[in-house]
Amino acid sequence: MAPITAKSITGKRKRVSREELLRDQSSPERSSSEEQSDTEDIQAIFRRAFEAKFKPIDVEPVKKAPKIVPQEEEEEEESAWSGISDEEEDKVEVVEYVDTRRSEADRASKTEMKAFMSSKPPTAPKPAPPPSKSKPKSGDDDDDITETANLKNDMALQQLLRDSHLLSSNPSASSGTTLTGALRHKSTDLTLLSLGAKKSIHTQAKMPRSHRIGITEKARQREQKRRTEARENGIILERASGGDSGGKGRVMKKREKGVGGPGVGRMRGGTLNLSRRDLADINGPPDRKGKKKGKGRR
Amino acid sequence: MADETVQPLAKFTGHKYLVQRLVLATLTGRPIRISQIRSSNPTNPGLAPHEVSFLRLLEAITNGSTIEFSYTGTTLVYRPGLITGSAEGLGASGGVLRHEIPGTNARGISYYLIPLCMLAPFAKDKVNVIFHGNGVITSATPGVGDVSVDTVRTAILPLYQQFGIQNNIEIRILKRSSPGPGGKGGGGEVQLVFGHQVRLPKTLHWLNPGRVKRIRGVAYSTGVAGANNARMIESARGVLNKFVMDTYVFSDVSTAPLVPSQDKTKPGEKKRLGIGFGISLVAESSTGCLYSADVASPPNGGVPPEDIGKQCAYQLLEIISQGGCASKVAAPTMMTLMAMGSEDVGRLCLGRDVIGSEEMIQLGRDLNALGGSGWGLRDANTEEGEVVVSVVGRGVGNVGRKIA
Repeated sequence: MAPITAKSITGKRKRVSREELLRDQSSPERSSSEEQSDTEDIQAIFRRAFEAKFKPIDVEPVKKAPKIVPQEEEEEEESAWSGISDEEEDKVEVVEYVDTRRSEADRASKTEMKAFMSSKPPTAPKPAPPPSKSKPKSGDDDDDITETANLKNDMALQQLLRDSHLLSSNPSASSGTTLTGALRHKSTDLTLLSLGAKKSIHTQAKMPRSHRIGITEKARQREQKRRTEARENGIILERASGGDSGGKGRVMKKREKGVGGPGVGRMRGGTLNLSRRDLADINGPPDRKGKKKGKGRR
Repeated sequence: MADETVQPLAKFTGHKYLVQRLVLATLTGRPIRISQIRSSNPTNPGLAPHEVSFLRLLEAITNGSTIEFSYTGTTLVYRPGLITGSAEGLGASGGVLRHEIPGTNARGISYYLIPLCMLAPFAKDKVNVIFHGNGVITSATPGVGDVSVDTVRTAILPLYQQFGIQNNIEIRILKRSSPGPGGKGGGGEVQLVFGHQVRLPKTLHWLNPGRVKRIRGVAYSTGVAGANNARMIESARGVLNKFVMDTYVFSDVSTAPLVPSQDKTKPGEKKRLGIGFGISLVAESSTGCLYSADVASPPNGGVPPEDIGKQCAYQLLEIISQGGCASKVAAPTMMTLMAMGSEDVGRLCLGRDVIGSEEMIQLGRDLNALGGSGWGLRDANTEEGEVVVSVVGRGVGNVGRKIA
């Protein structure tokens, strides 16, 4: 359809290249008056519709349009788009773009805010403190050397004081200030413990099972003996605690179950893992057939 | 007084510059007589509530000053005493002086703070005053043109550093308030601590205004939504960010203060007073000059926060364009302190519009009338056409310090 509204006329009209204008003139003229009245009718209808809905539009700019209409009407029918014209080039539209949104990084730092919003008159924010000097000044050189030496001696003395009980327990080793052999290991162990080591380096990590059982058994016996002796003598001891109460051999720890977790096994990554023991629990003792004990499972 | 034979009364007329004259009289120790205070006003002749309140404050922080009014309050004789500050036993309790400002006051708290700060360095003891009451307006006042308390803190107090007065100075804004209905009353609370007293302020030579390197500000809203702050900040930054990237405006939102309503029929009832918002901007130059602008919403409302923010930004740009090392707000403080300095020539570069303003010229005249020396003016050879003002100090300084 040919352009109808005033807006489209003025809008598209400028997109006319010179050649097409020439071609228009060479092409046979239609009855321009008829054409014009036709378009004016349509325009009037549309304008009425528009004005009914919105405000009345200004008539002024529309008046100019019909002058060009007859020529370009045909051209518009021939080709809807007539290419980019170079007539508009002298009119440059300037768009000022101001981004009013600010990024988060645009905000002042909290320290700066505190400095500014405090009750004191704001002072200029101090620049970041310069990196501390790694090299001591040449003037204080020998001073520093004695200082470090003093510090070293101090530490040695402290360690000696800490280890003194080792020396006293073993008088043969107290020949010199430096420890040797097992004492040295003990001293190192103490130092490590004082620095925050979790357990002593002398605790044996691995040993045969029979040994371990023997150790715990011995400890249990010793404890039991102590308790019986105390009871006989009428001495009240502390309450027996935990596993090494002497009475029971093994205390079953209650399994930590989370809310919504499985009743048996371990849920991990969407998979229920059942250990051998779990399976054994589920199946029950194999030798007694048909006598399944739930073992308190719910 | 005995010294009246030596020092005759300096005579002034009119209600304008009353505070300035009182401050200069106190600093120089000259008794003054001010006549024709609103004498032609048929309805409200004499002193206004804020002037009376200032006189009370002056009486509280000085010792031995006498104030005499005429019957109608149109004439005032003031004989200054020693500035004692908030010394114990002279109206102050616990080292803090509480000054109540009545609800009829229409001036911002800066009307009291700026002159009090001028007096404080010359006090005998530290000055610690809490302003309270139904008349404390911490925001800028659109009608009468007082700056906000934030501007005093961020644009005027730092100037004292140039005079070697910098320790233990604080303005605590305990409660914020905008002007109440009709621009009168507020209900805020402000504490001024000025703990650095000097014998003589340092001689100042400040000739290079430098270039603006950072802009800071405070947007405050009392009793209205904090979004108003954000809107003011947005529009102010929209204008200023093009010029100075280092622009940050901080936001302070608080409720409007609750004050007892004056309604006789409902005793004990309280109401919110002083609703509004505003923004204070301070530009700092590379040499430490401070230019400030202040805009607040009118008490009747009806101005969107965007307009306030934009207006403040434009005002700041205008004040920066006036040039010089001190803006119109700060120049009286600086010139007064320079005039009170040691007997030495101090120099200050000021913009033409600043030194040519009515207030500055009147300040020069008043100083002259109270025994100060004249100012020397010469053109600074800058393209902005600024003026270098040379001031000779009085060399008297802090009398209380000298004796003590």
